[in-house]
Amino acid sequence: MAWILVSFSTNALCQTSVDVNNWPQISTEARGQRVYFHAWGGDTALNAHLSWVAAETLSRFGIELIHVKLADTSSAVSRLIAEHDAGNTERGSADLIWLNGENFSALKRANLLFGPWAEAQPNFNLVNADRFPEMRQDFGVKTDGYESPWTRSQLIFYYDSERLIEPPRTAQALRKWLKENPGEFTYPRPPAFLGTTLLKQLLIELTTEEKTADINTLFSNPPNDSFDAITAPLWTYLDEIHPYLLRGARHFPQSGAQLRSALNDREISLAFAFSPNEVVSSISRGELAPSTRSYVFESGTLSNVSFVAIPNNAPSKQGAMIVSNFLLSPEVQFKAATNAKLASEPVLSFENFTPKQQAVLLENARAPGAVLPNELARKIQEPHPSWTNELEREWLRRYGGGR
Amino acid sequence: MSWSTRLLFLVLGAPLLIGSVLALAPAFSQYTLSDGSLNDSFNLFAGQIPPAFIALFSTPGIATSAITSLLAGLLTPALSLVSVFLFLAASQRGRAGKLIAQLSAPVLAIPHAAAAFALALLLSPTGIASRIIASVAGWQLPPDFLFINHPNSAALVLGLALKEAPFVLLVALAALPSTDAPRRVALARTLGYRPTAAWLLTVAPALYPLIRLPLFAVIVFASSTVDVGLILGPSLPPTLSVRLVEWFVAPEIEQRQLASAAALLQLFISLLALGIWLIFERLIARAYAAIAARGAPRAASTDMRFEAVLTAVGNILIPTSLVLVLMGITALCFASVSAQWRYPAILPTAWSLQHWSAALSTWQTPLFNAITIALLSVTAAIALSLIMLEAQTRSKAGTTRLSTFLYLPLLIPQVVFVSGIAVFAERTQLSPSLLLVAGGHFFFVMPYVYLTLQSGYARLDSRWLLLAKTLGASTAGCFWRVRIPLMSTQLITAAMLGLTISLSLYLPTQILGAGRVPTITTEAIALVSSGSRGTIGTWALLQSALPTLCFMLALLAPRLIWSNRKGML
Amino acid sequence: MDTGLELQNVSLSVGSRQLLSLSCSVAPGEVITVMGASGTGKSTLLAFIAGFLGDAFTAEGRVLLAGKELNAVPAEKRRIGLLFQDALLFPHLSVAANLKFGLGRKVGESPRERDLRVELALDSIGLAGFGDRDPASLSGGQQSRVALMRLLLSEPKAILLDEPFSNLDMQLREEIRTFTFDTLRAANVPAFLVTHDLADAQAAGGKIIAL
Repeated sequence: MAWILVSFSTNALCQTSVDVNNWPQISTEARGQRVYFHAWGGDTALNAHLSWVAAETLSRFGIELIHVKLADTSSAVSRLIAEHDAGNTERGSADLIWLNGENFSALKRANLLFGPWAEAQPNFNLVNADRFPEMRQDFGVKTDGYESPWTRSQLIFYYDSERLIEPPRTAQALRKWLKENPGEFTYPRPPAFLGTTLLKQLLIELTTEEKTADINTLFSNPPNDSFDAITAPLWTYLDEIHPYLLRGARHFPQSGAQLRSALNDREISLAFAFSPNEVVSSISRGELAPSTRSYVFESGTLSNVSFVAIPNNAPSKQGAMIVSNFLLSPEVQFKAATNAKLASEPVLSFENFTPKQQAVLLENARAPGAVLPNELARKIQEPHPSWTNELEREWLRRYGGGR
Repeated sequence: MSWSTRLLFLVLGAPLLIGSVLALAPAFSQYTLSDGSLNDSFNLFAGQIPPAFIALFSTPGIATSAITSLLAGLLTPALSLVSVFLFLAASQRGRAGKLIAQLSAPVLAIPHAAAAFALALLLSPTGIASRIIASVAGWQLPPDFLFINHPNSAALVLGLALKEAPFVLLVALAALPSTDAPRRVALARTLGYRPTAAWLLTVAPALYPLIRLPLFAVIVFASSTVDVGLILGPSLPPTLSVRLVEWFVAPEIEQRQLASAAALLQLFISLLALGIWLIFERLIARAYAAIAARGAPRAASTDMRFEAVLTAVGNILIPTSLVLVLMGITALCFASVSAQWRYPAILPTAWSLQHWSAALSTWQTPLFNAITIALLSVTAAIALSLIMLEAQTRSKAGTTRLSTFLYLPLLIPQVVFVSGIAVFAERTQLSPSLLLVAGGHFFFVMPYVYLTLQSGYARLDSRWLLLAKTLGASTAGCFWRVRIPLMSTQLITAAMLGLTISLSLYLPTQILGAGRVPTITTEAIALVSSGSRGTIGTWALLQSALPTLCFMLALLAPRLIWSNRKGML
Repeated sequence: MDTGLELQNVSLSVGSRQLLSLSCSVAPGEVITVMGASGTGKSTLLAFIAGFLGDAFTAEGRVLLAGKELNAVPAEKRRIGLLFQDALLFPHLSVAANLKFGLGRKVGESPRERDLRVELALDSIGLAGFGDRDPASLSGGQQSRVALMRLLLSEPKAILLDEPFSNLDMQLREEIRTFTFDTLRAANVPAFLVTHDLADAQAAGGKIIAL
């Protein structure tokens, strides 16, 4: 009995409650901490950028930032859930996680995240959340301060202008073009994030065209019994175009990077990515020909914000918050935005950069292969995360087993 | 059963048991529905089928996945066995044959994933083979065909066989002397059989039982590989083991249970492959008996043609596989220094060291981890093996049927029980660390190290120890002054084997280390989806470099150590 | 008085089948020869005397060395040397190291003095300066001589010879045979020879027992 009491009291001593509003105290407590940042490791440019961030956090704040390279974001989530199941409430393996919608909602639902903390960050007001409500919404789910914005991205299409003069700019145009040019396009196999994104993009476009329902309310809520009726046009569409895809849709690429590689090798002439900077950075890395051009569909494309979150059992919460705040600083946002090899858009609103930085950003927007800013302005909000799961499930049910 | 045998059972059997149970148990538990509630109406003991299994069998394409895995598990060893036997029969250990056998050995050092990358680089529609044809046929655009990642798993089988055939070859060569092959063939030839056919009819049946167990290991490996399945296997649907891992790392609970049910199915498929193989053994034995009963060949012409075909195929298969591997590695080298390599250029059009500088700026920790884990696990394996073998020798209790038991970790699919060990580690609050991963590696390294050292112990002329004793050496003296030096080559071989295995392991590192213990292999596989030929080439070469280095050291070390002792070489 | 090597009612069996049974004694400096065809248990007898009897065999009777019973003494403590058909020079040690292997440690002896003993031994068999050589570079005859020297340097109380000349060619055999028995006689230890060659037995010059 006494043993239990002792362990409880030591637990209380160990778990110093973190006062998110006392930033000076957080900075002091963060010094000397080690922060494990679980983020996808498949992008060497991003890995290098994070290495730079780590060097800076060490010299400026005395925080050792370690980038744990994941092959897949959801593995961090499942690890967290497993730790929770095993009763690990203090020594989690992750202090900071890079999340997107479906993963965030799963963790928030299970009460595995620490918070609220995001809006207490000194740099948070730089994202101008009042004017850009997407800074507080992750796939339609309110963040409630449990996540902090990091980067934003948008679905863009790109093509080889040497082989394609006028690319299709709507879903209908795409279908028509595919039938005339078989084997020139494909998409990553769901549940890869990019592949599911195309499904969502097509679904929204097809639904809007057929005016089956009020789009905003439809997709802000989880799918209900009318899922089959609503998604019917999508499956008909896919059934039609699959025979005209690369490899006759018997095999799909695993990722957007493989899609880009296929374009570079002239296997396909049209591809897409979830980052506006994709073409510019790829050209500078020699991974795409300088003749590549990018664009946005006429009726707009999906756009979202990437967030970072802190698990409840993170041992270095203070350090994680300092790192997140640093990621929001104009310096880091600018460095990422101007890194030709990186593919991301800053979340800071334009006026929060210095005039010199603003000039550079404007100049970059004119680089060959860049998407025109007015095209980028055509943004479509992401639907509720449950749509992602349901679409993936249905796609796998219909096509995942092969023919 | 001596204490050392009991220790061996414990060291190898306990993790196997715990891992398997923890991995498979969730399949039978109460199923959690997607909104988080428990399915209270399910009761295992009422004889109902667990919901996890119902879900598993209603997953689209699960039968195809299972059959693909089964086919890979049967065709890979079959292809390896046939090419090895035909090669041995056709070359009959002539000079060229010996050379080819020596060239095959380094292939063992190349990790499976690297070999798979190399094959993909060669035979994909934008690969080297296609580019060579394009330069002759004048193509500008790559053809649209599916070979790599085709649902018929041909590419998967080929990629696996490229690595398994040399392994089977070297095991066969080690066992060949005890079959007295030259005399058997000579005998058959005096009865009128031609050389190749004679070898196949008289030596093969004697050789096969000696390489049976390694072949079983190949069957299980081929039917359950994850990394090669990811690179060369189909995606619609993926092989069973790939799906299993996808489900295991997914965040939803029901996916974890699905993974457990799939693990049981994987176990079943691997055992089924073994069972079908055993049936084929019987059938072929009967065919052999029938051929033997038919007597010596009469019709000279058909017999000669048959002989010619057999010899030709035998002389082609293994050398072709070596050529493929060599070309693939070369392609990887070119890719790693390429800045631009669009189709249909045969050589890169722009060169750059950017991939290497990027890799070398991040490789310190993975390299350190990989080497440390390998050294720890191999040292522990060698130490434990020596302790047990020495105890057995001294106690004169004799060895029980250990070799079969030692193969048990190789006969249970890795993916099945490693996930269970991970669950065990989570439950016991063991944080993912270098030591935990090294422990996991030890488990896989131990069988090979033990078997190598055991054969060394068996082959050591017992007179040496008698002699040492009569000269007054103590028991410890006999061990350190006589046995160890005389077994130095086997010790080096065992160390090399263990290091190579540890350096190529992916699944245990990834799952037990929870991503916090990166090694060269985990980094390389994390970049599979990067689509960048340069990055993949660089990391595949890095991944191969370490084991190859170990291999060369293992070859050179005895020569260097015993340079002035001819009798030791 | 040193009674040498004595076998009292020694009987060896495998299972229920008796292989051999004998009693004999060898005085220091003498050689006794046991002759028989293969399979009659000659090597097993030597194994028994040296202390290595295999599990498949059962033995009765006593072995006495200088009056002390050896039955409970482990093999490495019996001070009985064994000479095989092959010289069995340790391939990983130099010639000198081979000779040093069985060299007992005398109280207060320095390493230099041990080296000296080895050098003297090499000198006495006509291989002066061969200390650092690789044993594999020695001829068959040279190896046999080193093997015998190695044995003697361990100062055994008795020596067993298991057909030690059968692997040598005719010419060498005569030479090594003479050398071996002369050396054994000079060393004044009891020797037990097992062979199927009558010429060996005659050269040994001692009692001959046929199995």
